[in-house]
Amino acid sequence: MASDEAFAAFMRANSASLFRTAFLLTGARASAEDLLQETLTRLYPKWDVVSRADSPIAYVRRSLTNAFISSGRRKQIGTLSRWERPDGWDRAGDEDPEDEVANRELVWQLLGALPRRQRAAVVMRYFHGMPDDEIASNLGCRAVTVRSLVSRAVAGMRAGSGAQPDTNGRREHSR
Amino acid sequence: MNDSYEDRIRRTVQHAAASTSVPVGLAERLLAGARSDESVRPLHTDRARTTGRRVRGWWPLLGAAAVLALAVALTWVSVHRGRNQPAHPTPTPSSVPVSPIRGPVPAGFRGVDLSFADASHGWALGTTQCTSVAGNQCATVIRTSDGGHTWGLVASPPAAVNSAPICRTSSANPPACVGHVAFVDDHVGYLWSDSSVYLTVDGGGTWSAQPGGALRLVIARGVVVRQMREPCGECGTVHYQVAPVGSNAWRELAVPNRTDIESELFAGRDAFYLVESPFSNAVLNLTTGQIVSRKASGSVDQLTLYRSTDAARTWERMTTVPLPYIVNGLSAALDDSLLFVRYDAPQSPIGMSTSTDGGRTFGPYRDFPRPNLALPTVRAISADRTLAIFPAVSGVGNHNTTALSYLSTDAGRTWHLVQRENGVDSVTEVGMGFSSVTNGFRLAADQRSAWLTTDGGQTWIRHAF
Repeated sequence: MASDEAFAAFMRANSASLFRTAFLLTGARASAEDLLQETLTRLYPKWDVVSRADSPIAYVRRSLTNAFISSGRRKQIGTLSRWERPDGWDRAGDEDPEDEVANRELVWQLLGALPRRQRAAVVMRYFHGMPDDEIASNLGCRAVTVRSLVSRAVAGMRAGSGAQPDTNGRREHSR
Repeated sequence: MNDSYEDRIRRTVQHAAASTSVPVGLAERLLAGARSDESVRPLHTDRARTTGRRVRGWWPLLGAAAVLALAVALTWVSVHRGRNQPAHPTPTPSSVPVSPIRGPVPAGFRGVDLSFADASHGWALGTTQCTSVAGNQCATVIRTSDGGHTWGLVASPPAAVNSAPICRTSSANPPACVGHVAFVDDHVGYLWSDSSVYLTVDGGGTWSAQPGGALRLVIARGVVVRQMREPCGECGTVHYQVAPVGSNAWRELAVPNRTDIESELFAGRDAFYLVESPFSNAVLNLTTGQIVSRKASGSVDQLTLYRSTDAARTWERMTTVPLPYIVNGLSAALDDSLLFVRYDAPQSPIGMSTSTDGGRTFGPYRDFPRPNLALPTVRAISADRTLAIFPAVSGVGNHNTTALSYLSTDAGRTWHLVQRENGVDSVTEVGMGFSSVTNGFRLAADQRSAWLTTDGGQTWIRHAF
């Protein structure tokens, strides 16, 4: 089946990237794989539609994000109880100053405590570098809502870390 | 460091992504999971997730023989799926668009039950004055998709609400009545009473009447189970039916418990529970603490707990508890821990204990706070987190009660008062729940708003309908 072959090729090329996104959303490798599996299981039957999208990877990422946000009570519990550090977390950070490592650990944990939509917005903004209108398209909301989500997320994380508000005049949602 | 907090977040997420190794064989596993699921498409069940768990759970066994073992695993998954999830003719709900909002919340809307599928998507069943239904109190459903900030009207079945007098008295031409609402996700939801069940697969745009009613209706593992009594008053035996979530393919369910009494039926995240107890029909006066029980003829003085972890196909007898004390409730939390609430006498301490092994064993008995002699309505949130709401009489007449909400985050060791709501008529479990450990909801006493929490019950914010 042509769409099956296309799906397989897409998966082999993009599963690693999608897994990393899922991991940032769920904070757990097991949950990330579950989320990815759930998303792809839903998309597989209509892969011919997905493959005709302007950007299939963006389509899948959007589906992944929506599955994460809208998934029900069961998975949310698992996610909350298993927010974990990446397996290469310490190795990759050896060269960083000690306070940077400590900050990073705290920021990572605070990210895990964010509400789902805020966390998704943060991941899209700071990992994928998406502009607000693209995040808005992914989340099914307006750009102003994205700015609000990110602003609240950053403010909440900053408050949780005890950090002082930025004093360099930059807005948190400056994109 | 002279940078913004945003820069710290950016560095952290990028570091986390870069330092996360991708599981070996991920792409092939995902491919196999998607392909194997195609033959039996899920109906908003957690089967897709269990695919990943099953395959991943076997991963350590694969070792060098990964390809061969994966083939075996996929065969196993395929066989078990086919056996466990019978095909049914209902369209896949996820393929149906969610219905649009039809208009603003009607003036005079009064909520009677509330359900949130997640932090954003919630539905309230209520009543409005109308002329299209006998009794002139129409069941009305409203929806929010933004966590309660805005609400709008969706479709409703041609029914009255249970609280309407016509639903509580004999009538030559009684309308269908509904009193409860439960949504699984943003598509699939149910309205029900002991005489009627309605199903929607498009978020409330259309409702289809299901045959029969439901004394209790609970959902887990992608199936819905209802407890029913034949329409002959108290004479009929209780029976049970099961259907895939979103489907009208109901079939009779074999259960291990007695069918001459209404056993408690409830569900956690992954399991269904049945509690056979002679006090199942107990009526509690939450103000005075008095209990009035209708002990079924021939019943035994013990509580027997059954559990099913395979979508209600088989049941295991977990424990039998003798009853020197009176059971006020046994319920499941979102993490499948069980909360057992008991008290010995109206003026003695009320206590709870928790089970984290599906009800085989229970932990130490912990006292509830006791601000007065009233009994609390208790909601298990997780093994550690429990909400207990006490009614405190503050005057005479209707709505003379204050609801005092206490939260414990350490399995009942300590409690603190988190909310006080005045003007309450009574405190019940109806309209109260949690869609996750953090996100909870409770119908406000005025029936015109909902209390929502996003921090596990620590703080509650009122959102008007």
